[in-house]
Amino acid sequence: MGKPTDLLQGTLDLLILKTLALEPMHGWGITLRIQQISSEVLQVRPGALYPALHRLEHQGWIIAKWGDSAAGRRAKYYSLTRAGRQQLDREAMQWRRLSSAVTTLLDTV
Amino acid sequence: MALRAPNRIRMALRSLFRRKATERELDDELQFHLAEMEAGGFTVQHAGLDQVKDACRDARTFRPLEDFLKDLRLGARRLYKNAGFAFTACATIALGIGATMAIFTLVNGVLLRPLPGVRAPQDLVLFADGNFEGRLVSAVPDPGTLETYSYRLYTRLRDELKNFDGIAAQQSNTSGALVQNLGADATSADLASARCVSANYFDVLGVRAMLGRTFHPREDADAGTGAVIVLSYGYWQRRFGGLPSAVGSAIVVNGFPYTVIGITPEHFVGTKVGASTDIWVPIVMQPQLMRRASLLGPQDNSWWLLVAGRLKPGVSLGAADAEVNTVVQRFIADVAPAGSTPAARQRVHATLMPGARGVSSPREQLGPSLWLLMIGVAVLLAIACINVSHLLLARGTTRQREISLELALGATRGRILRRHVTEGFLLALIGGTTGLVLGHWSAVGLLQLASTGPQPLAIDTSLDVRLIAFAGALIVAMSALFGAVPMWRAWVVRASSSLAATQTRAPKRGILSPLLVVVQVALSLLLLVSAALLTQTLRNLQDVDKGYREGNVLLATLNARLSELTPQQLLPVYERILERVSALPQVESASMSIDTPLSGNAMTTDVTVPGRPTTPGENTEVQVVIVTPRHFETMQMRVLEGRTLNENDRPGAPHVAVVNEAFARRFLTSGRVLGQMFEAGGQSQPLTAIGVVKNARINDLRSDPRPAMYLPVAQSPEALRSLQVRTVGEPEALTTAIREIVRTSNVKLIVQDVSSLEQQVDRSLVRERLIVTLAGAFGSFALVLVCVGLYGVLAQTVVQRTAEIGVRVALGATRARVLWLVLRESVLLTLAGVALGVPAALNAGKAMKGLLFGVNAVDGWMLATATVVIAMLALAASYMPARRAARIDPIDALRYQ
Repeated sequence: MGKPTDLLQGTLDLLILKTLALEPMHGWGITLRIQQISSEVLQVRPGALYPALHRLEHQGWIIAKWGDSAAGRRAKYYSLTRAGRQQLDREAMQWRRLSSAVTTLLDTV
Repeated sequence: MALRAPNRIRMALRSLFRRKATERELDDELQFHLAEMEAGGFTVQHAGLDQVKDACRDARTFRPLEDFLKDLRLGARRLYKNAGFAFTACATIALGIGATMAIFTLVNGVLLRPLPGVRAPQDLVLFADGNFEGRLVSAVPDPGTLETYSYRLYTRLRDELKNFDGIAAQQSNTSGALVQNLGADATSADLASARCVSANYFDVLGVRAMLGRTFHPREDADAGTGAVIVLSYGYWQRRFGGLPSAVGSAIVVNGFPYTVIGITPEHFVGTKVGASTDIWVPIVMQPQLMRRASLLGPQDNSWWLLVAGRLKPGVSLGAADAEVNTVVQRFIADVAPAGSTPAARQRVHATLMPGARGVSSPREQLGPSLWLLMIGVAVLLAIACINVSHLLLARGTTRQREISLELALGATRGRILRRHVTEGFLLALIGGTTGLVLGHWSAVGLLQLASTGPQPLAIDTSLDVRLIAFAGALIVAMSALFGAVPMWRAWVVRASSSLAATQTRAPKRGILSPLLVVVQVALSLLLLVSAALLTQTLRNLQDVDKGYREGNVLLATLNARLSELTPQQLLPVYERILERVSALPQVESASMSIDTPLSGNAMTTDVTVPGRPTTPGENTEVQVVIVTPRHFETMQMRVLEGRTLNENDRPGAPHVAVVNEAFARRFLTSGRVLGQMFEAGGQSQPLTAIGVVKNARINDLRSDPRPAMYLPVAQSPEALRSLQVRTVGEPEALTTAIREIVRTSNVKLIVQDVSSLEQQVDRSLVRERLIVTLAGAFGSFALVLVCVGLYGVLAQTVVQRTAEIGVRVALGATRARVLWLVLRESVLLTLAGVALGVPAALNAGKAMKGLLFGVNAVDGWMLATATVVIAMLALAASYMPARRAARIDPIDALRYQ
């Protein structure tokens, strides 16, 4: 496992929104999911994750609710709002454009 | 993110108010995460948790607001710990802002405020400055600016002008109106002021009735149908007790019935600020209201109306002025009699002026004095601010150390400045709001003090945008000042330099502060002495030998307007009333006279004495006082020679007069006064002097009495306006009895006003009382400032020289020496201030000579007393810093060296 790559704030937001698009999750679950799907490339530290979660909540794109975890403990679950879904689509499209542009640039030189 | 804003604010507020719960949630959430990490076998770092929490908080909250609240809490705690300082600073600020707001409220009400109650006053235009009150009669007015308009010209203007949305007219003065309830007798009557206005008056001004309605244009249509009336708010409160049932009720005004149809808004006074109108009457009712011939006819030449209009949107004043003058010239050409020249006619012109603030005689009378007061108060406010700043600076080097520490720990200068500004804001807020309340009450109180008669001056003192903005600006400015002051020194301190080194470099205090204290001492002396002189003046006026005894005398003003009897016919009525009043148990004697004492009304005439040639330019004017025989007894005026008037002085007997000393001295040969005869203007027969009475101040208290003669009413019949009753106990107790007696005399004599002679004396001293109050207030304020200022300066000295004092004490200086070190400065400053203040006070005294009565402008005792007072206050103010200096422990002092 190489050194975990640091994620830009905007990118982290996008990933969180995408992860929550599937189902509501708590912070730990989001960390695991992102780690799993990216095959350990992306590792999110709590120091980055939780401020991001609170910010997204502040902006109204996700909404939080306390519930019981699988193990029976109290955990704070986040889910996507409708506005969040729209924001996800917007940001995803933006990311694709950006990354394709960068890829094109790298390939032509 | 417009959609997000309400959400964000809501969440920010939530995190503010449910802080504990939110914190716990965050903690739980992170603990859960860590627990799961451990369970999953990952290494766990508990360190750095706080930073994570911080980052979350930042993401979630509205940081500046939280910081602000935190600073407020900190500042409040600080002030609470330094209660003495906080109280002094806040009190000083409160006084400063209070005084400023009081005067500014008056300035606002008199000078700045647009017409109250009127819609869009900036579109209003007045057709004259409205200073003229009354009626001119002539076919064509004199050359010059038209002051008043005739009804004919008004209707012409109303019908022909195109640049206006409406032209309204009002009577240029008010008419006295006797108001009674319908069907009731004369007891319920009272006197009110009524004004005729055109039916569109309220529409043009854009005034909507508070209750009921205002006039319809139809009410102008024909005379006799317009028997409706609109009440002013004040009159509605006074006479109808503010009851809604007043609207629709019927009242009789000057003998004619009207229906009340509406009440105007509370602060509406028409276009003349300071002139109160109680009743608004449609102009068609003019003959009935004024009880005279109609001034509305097509041939009438009376110029008695003030005209105002509302400009159509987009029309300039110049264009309107031109149009008005065209119409006026056409009118004058139409009506001018054959003999007048075109040149003279053309010199008559109308002058339009903006009507936004109406016309105002208070503005002219009080304006300059108010601006002067405003400047004075601004100076005091500036001094107060500087004093509080000194207090802040005097809090010592602990502040500086604290700031240096904060800078070293990484706080930005901006953050520290914000904290200090918040603390300053707290001071300014507390002091400022107290000051606002104080100021408002003071303004209302001053107005009441300044008003003669039962109605206060019609000046609007209610809070409006301007006042609040002004107060807000003051508070903000003060916050900035008080925040910046402690920072000012630290601004130059570099965070990198060692904290220890900053202590020795306590900057020099400079010459400005002591100089300011000296000026303050001088100012206080000046104000104290002036206040003392004025207070003594007031007391002298109250105690002056008036020539009569004012205690226990009831005064009633009688109005015979409705009675329709001639003065001859009123004589027996007066005699009967006096008989019945004298028969009342508490009454010692009763009399009547033509004018109320101290009302300032006086009848005068000229006198010639046969055998005594008049030198050219000599003033032969004497005052004529027509009285019933027992007048001297009732007023307790001493008769020096001869006799008083009695019942034998009837129309058939020789006409007599009682003269006063001044008269006798001036016109009659001394030693043989009694029996001398003289002639007076308006008298059909020569008069014989039969008695000499002591001089009495019956017109006002200041002026020396002028020559006067007292005539019996039986020989010079007149309607007597004043009834005097000397009572055994409280005069007011007999009010109802006397009203009853007058009422049952069955001749529609109205008792207008009942008070006592003592009250009348008070009323005549209103101006003096007002000035004394102001001088006293300013003087006290200046004294407070001196104390605070002196304390601040001395405290700074002590702080500055702490190290030096420590060394001295260590080297063996006694406490007494240290005390003297501080007190010496105090003494020097006080002496310098007194030296400056004494000549200033002397000059002020001379400048005030016109206001003084019975006191010398140069009064040694007062100067000495004032100096002593200031010296003692200075001593008191020096006490604390001196004590602090004396208690300096050399070890402590040198430790922070």
